[in-house]
Amino acid sequence: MNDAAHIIGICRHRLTTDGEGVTTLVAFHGCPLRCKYCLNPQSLTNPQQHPTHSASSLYEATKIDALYFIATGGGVTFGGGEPCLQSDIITQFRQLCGKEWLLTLETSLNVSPQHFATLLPIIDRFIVDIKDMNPTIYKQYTGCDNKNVIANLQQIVEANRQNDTIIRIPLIPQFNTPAHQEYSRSLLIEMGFEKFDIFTYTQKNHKTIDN
Amino acid sequence: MRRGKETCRILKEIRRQIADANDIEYITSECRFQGDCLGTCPKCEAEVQYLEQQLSAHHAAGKAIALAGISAGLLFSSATSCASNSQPILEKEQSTESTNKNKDVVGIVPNTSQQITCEIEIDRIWTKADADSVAIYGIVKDSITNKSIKNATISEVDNMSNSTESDINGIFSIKVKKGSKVIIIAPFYKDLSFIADSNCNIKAYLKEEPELDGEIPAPVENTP
Repeated sequence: MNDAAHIIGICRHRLTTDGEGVTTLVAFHGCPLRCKYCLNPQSLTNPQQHPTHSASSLYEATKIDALYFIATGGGVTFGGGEPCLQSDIITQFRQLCGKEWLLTLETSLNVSPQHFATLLPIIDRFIVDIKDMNPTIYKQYTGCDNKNVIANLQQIVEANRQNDTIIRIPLIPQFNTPAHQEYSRSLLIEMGFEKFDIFTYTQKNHKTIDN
Repeated sequence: MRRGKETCRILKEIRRQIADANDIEYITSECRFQGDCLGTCPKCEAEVQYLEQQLSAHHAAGKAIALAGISAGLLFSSATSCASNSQPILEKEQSTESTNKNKDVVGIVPNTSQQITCEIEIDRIWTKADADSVAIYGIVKDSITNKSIKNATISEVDNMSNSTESDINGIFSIKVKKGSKVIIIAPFYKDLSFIADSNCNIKAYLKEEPELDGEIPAPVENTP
């Protein structure tokens, strides 16, 4: 069991960007993907340059805004990096914060189904960046296959949690097209998902991750 | 840094609502700080601690505390976001509207003696948003059988040439002028309309048109 994790950032007072209410984003270091246009490449650098937090120290750092969380229906959003890799920490965190805080997961879902199965019952909302449902495009963009993604999407469906899930379908310049986005959306609709965020990656001052 | 000032304003309003809901005296002053701001400061944090202390005292005195969800609607109408060092380097084009499931009862059918409503569920979502237009994704279904309705026509009322049809699964997507009225029409069903004020997914449940009774009256002839 992991007792501590490297954190690349804690952002307070996020308003409507990570779901309902006032939220605090906790971004974990580490990710299994190597996306060409990684949103947070610091999650892939040397972990030692980032501070570590246990579940209790994370709770201490976030509870300052508990009043806003409860009043607005907000809470803590776990992102990164890939937060599902820290299922132990997040599980302990839920035990500390109780049921009143909304816990949201911003994830690629590209983790072992065992990791995700631990988180499914304790997370209130999932924001899933699906990249692309086409396995070839997915592999080209991330360097990994998407079998775990599909398996974890199935877990969400089997748990009847589609209504708590927003699927983000990006238009990724030079990798997919609007037709691919629509195809991804149609596949996800067939699986039972109904909430989508269709958007475009905009390249601005980023560093690409080379495989 | 206007975002910080806006964040501060919103958080201050939340604190005021908490104080009002719990009959707590809340005296604050306008922030006069000029320059960059993260949206909070020691003065703001002190106000939060004051409220927490007051709420604890109320609880200890056996008073009921009103806190959960009392400011839930505030952020939806404000629709702002704060920036921080942990924001992604790669910016994504997205609206900042929150997801907020509303069950709106719309669709007043014209030219009937009885006001009949159809149900529509609107989930406001984050999608790429232009300044003047909104994107609507949705599904059209029968309100009784819950079956998808294909070939329903979805149109922007003030620009009927902007129109689309639901596919075999009842699914459609359309981009319309922000704030415009959108109407859904399907044979043998009552029309359904709603105002498209934000990007959203909708589920539209159409009610069947009642059968006509009797014969269609003949036109009245003008008598000399």
